[in-house]
Amino acid sequence: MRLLLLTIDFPPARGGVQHLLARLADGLAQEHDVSVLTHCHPQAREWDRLRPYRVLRSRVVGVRSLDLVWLGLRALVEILRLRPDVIICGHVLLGPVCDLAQRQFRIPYIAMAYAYEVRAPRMRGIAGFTLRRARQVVTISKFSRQAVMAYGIPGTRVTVIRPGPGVNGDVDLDPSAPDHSGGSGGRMLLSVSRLADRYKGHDMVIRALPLIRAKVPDTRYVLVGDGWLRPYLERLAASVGVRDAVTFTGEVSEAELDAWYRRCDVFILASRESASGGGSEGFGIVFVEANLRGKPVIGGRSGGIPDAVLEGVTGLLVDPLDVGEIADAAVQLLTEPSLAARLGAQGQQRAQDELSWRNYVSRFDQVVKSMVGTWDSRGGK
Amino acid sequence: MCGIVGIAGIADEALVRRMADTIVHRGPDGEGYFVGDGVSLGARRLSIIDLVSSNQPIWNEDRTVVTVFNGEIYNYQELRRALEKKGHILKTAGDTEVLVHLYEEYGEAGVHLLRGMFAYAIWDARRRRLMLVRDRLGIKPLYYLEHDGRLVFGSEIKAILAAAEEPRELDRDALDLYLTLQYVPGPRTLLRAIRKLQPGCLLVWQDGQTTVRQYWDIVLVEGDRKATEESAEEEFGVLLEESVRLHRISDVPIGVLLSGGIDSSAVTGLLARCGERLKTFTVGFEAGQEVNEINEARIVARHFGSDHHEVVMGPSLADVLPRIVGFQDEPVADPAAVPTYFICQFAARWVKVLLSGEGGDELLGGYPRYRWLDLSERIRRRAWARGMGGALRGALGTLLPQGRVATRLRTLLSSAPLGHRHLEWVAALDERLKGRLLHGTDHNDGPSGGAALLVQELLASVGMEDAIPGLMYVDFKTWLPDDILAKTDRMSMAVSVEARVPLLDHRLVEFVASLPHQVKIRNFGTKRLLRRSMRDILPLETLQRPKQAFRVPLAAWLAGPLRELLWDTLTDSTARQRGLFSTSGVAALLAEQANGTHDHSRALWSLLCLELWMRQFLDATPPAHH
Repeated sequence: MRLLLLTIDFPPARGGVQHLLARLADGLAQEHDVSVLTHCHPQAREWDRLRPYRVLRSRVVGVRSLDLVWLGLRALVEILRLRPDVIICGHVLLGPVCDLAQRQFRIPYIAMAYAYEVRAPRMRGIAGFTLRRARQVVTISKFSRQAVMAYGIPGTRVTVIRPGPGVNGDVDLDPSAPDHSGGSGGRMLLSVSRLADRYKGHDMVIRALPLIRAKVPDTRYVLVGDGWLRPYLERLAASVGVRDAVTFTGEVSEAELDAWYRRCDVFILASRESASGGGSEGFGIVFVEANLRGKPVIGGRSGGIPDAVLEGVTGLLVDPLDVGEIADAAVQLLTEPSLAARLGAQGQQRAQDELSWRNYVSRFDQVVKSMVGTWDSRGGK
Repeated sequence: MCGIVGIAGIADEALVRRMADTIVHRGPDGEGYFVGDGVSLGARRLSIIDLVSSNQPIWNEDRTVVTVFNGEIYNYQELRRALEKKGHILKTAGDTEVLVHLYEEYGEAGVHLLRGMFAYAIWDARRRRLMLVRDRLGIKPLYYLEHDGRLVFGSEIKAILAAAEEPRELDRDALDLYLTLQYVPGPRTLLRAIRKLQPGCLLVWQDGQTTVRQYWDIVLVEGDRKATEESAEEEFGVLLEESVRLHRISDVPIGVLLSGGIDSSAVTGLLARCGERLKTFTVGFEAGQEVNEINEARIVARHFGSDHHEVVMGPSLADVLPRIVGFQDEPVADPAAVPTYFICQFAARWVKVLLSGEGGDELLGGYPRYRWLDLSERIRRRAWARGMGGALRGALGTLLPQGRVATRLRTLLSSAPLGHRHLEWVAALDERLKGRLLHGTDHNDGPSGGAALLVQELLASVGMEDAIPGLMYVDFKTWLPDDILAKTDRMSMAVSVEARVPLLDHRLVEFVASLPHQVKIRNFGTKRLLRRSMRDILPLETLQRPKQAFRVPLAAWLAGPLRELLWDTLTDSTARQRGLFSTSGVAALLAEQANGTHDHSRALWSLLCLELWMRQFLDATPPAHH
């Protein structure tokens, strides 16, 4: 089958969605004729050269709305040229052009739904349009499925496929691999995320740190990632007397990230749902990444995190606004090595098995195939 | 809610009893003492939660950790459940007990789990170690004195004076701060030997050594972020409602101090939404009708159908003021203390707990001066604007008559550091006036004293380019704990009523502090966040009322009911012999006030409160108000 993936997020730009779509395209290309249409990127040439499928790039001028319109026009041209059997709509903003193709050329489309874009109040109009018209919606967690169904879309048209770890290539999973983090001993809690969204809950982990250190005094908290919240979080750590126990690494390379994952004792991201505004975790690929390295995880009981963290199986869930509960969970995993090891091992198993990209692609493939079937029967009337 | 006292270093029950006797008003319902090996603790109790079993002091399971506690822990039920799950055995039904078990569980870090207002002492008998803790924002007071390896502490200064033998020496630097600010910012007090434990700090005494450490501070975020205003409003509303709900916890009747302003109206509205049949209380003035807010309060009370009570302050001011100053414990020359005392005394007939809207201005950026000084800072940063400002400033002297507006304008156009401009704006006595009083001559060097140093230091510690977060931080560290909250605590406790401040719940404060100031203050409109989140709850008149400071008819008081007390107190032989101020300077001030050439009301009020205080706390043993 000929498949066309339209997306505004695609590598070499970094991010969870970018990674997911690349793994999807990689996987689908093994069986189908895949084309991807996305924005230009300065380092795109090298990356695109290594893909086993066509990557088409639309020009950008740096103005978001203009770039989007340009991508839409280019999409129309490519749809006419390529005549795909199915279009995968990588972002709700691209819904109108997909809908046009569906109505004019009877090319059905699958809409991808993640989290923020379907919950943000200012996206309601376009998200509702794209999702309602889509023949199928594929999303990442039960939480996001609820958000999609809130637009009045029947559950039968929404499929949850949980994404896998956001790691490129094969990870050396030998737990005795050397430590590159330059750590200075002691126990380590690790978070990985941009420091740009309050809802990620770094603040509450920092506030819990004095309580954790009261019981496990050599505990450090390492925050990998950067963003405008960093100076605030640094001052926050100082305000509760733990500045020396908190490390901000800034942006790191894939190799360094891998080293931090290996080096930590517990991975933690106590994300919360903001009372409104749509800020929340849609799934939390970082939990799976940590699990993949055999690490136990702690997640905030919010958004799609319960899909990424199986309570008592791959990690622990906490009330993200309760510093006492955050501290208790961290202390438990830092002081009960057998529990930590068991959760880590079970998490690793799940990451390699149920949440493998192989599994993701094959389930997605079923959606693609089922959809074409129904279309043919209708088209035959 | 109570008063606490104690001494580390000696065991002396008679002494702690004597200390506790000076603060019976803080806790008339009961008393309790613990005297152990090298330690004496005492508490006076006002029963609010768990009236039966929570008599202090309170121990842990094996009686190795003991506490005396003043305040309320609003999340105590949640903490009790968590502690019981960890195997602690709690014997009472109250909030005090969680303190000892949290200490067992987390040591000093246990304080991070407390949500509420508190000042407490914990004696760890095994380590022979005393820990004093004060809440994050300084809602409850705690004073201490170190002497000879001993540590004497108490909820009020008068309790410490009952135990301390050394001479009571006035701290001249603190006096300078008082004259500028109308209160003494911590950790100083007007008495050289006595310190305040600062908000958000804990003190540990062991083997005669004392260390003080900060465990919490407010962290304001840099501005200029595109703020997601809608979500901020909604989240603010959710947090405020939660805070008000938590602040209802009580086994005795509660009421609201309703001024008619938006802060106390919001508290009233949210309580009413909890389904509470409310009692509200408002105070008005007989002298000076123009400053009354009785009508505004009535609108709100009617809107929510509360059981509303009003009291009008009568002419008996001169009899009461010395008592009020005595209760104040250290002089806070904020005239709002007087109506606060009256309304609490009045409300005490019906309730034991009063919720108030205090803290709203500091939290939400309610003071217009933030915006004005921010503007002034922007002018100063631009060379061309600075030049024009300088010229304008020069012209002002001839164009505008002397007065408030001219003074304000001069401050705004001044090229002095931000801290100095802030002080020029808020000062009770400017440097010129201070010079006249202290030396009998004008000495006009600009604010060079301790206050300027303190403010500049606080501004520097925030280290932000924006003026607004820095100025808000200064208020959080000085004005809020040492004026607003000191006044609220002392005036309510004077009549054995507990005041609660739901706008200062730390979770709410942390959230609001983390918002860019553009969400709080915009285009000279103030308290956007509160106004907008309350738009479906409060009556329109209240929402649309422009910001009004709580005003007191001070000049009318000084010319009327207090005239005699003022002249006598400031000019009699006791005052003259004290020799703190130039006799001619004081006389000139009084004369100018009397013939109406200048309004020195704030300065004279500061001097009056100070002299009344010195008579009770320096010259004599402070009165025990039984």
